[in-house]
Amino acid sequence: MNLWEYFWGAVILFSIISFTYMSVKVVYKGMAELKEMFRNLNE
Amino acid sequence: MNLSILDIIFIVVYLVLVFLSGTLVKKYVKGIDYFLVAGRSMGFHLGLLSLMCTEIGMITYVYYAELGFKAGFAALIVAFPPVVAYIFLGSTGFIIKPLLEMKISTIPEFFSRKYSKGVRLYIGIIMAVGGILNFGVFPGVEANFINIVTGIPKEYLLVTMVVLLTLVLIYTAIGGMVSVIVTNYIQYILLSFGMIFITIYGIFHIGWGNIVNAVSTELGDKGMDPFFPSLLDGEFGIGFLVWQVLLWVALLVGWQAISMRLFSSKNSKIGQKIYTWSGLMFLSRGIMPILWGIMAIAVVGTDIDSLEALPLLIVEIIPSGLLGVIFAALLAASMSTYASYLLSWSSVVSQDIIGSVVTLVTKKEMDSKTQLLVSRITMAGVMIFIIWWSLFHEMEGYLYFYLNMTGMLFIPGVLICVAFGIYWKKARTLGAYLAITFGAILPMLYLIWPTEVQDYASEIGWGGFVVALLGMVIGSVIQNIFQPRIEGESV
Repeated sequence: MNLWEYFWGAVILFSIISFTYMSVKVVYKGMAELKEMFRNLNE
Repeated sequence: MNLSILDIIFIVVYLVLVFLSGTLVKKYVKGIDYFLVAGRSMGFHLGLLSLMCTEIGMITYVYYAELGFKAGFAALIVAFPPVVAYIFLGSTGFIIKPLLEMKISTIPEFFSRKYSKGVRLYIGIIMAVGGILNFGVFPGVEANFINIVTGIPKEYLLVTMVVLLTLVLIYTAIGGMVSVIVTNYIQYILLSFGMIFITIYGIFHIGWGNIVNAVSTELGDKGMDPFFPSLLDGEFGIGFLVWQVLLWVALLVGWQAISMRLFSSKNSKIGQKIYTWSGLMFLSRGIMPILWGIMAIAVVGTDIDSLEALPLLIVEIIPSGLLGVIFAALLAASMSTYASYLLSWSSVVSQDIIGSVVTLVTKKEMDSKTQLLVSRITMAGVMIFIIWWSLFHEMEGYLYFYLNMTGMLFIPGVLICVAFGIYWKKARTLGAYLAITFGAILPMLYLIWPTEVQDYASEIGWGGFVVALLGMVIGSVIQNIFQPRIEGESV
């Protein structure tokens, strides 16, 4: 194992975790914003 | 066919759901501002989600996977420049804050306010050419992808693509940005699941050790170290990184599909926040598909067409019962990008080319209803063009570089004109014309002679920005000497 392998392994791990976390968050909170957007568009 | 009945049912249900939700929002489109930027009512999370949907398409997966397949782990470095650009612009507000405060709908609109209507028309034409040439390779590449993953015979591919694009066209033409945001929500759920699943399942199914060994065997040190043999001479060395950071800063300012998301946000603070956090999301947007290309080295070997590495990997590793879900996820990525790009490039044609010509000739602007009609007709025109273009265009070199260079036709000129227009009081119309023209010359060389100049892609890339800057300075200085701006003159 060379240093690059460790580095890329860490980058891949970080990207999977951060993407999963952010995706759950934007889908959950995005629903409330979607409803609010329609309320605003209706006015 | 590689798809089971269950797979097909899942895909059909997804398509019906997206189509219905996209068309039912028609009543909310009360005018052109609602059609183009959803009445500027988009919040932070929705904005982030929608931006990701726009910029993650099947084509994104294919070009990133091609990089990973050809260059191994070293290609992962390509995922970093967008992160730098997003976080820089989002956290500082450089360029984007003043743009948001101007409340414009398209970037060329800035040109008519800051320079002249002629410059707006000129950049609109170059933008439309670059953007549509970029968009024009999507159907061909994706049809090939769909052919391999689903097993749909090649003779039915054109019909499949036309049906798919027509569905997207109908709901986008009806509901504009409102439809795009609603359908993006459904598409993002599938898209993100697909990305996470393929990545984690692929690593466990193939084995990390096998992936690393395959890269070491096929590519050696070059497959691990992006700066091999040196920081200066490496394929992804300093020249490449400088170009990519500049390119991404410019894309975030001038790429219509991205900037329209920015302009749809509620206020400048939310716009900036969307950009800052997009940096983190864009890291994964690059890392995951590049890794899929790297996995393909271990699974399907290197003796295949590099653009087919990803679909072959998917067919090889995804179990048949799950193929429908994964295919729907890939389709979601594809359709969300088509919807946004159709809206974006047709808005440049309708607002900045047709609208500008009508205003120049009749001396008055089109009313909102006519603008809506023109936008919808233009959208259909753009769709017909990209299908026609993809039928005969043959790719040479990296797909990633082709897409970069079509964008580069206008991106250096846009960045320089916008940045100088905001921050340099002496920026003038002649400078804008020269910046746009000079900036387009080098990328044009790449598009005309890709084989001959592909080794100089990085130099062409950052060189485009340097000559655009020279154009702005030279043109503005000349105009300021021979036609000084009158004190208090509004531009």
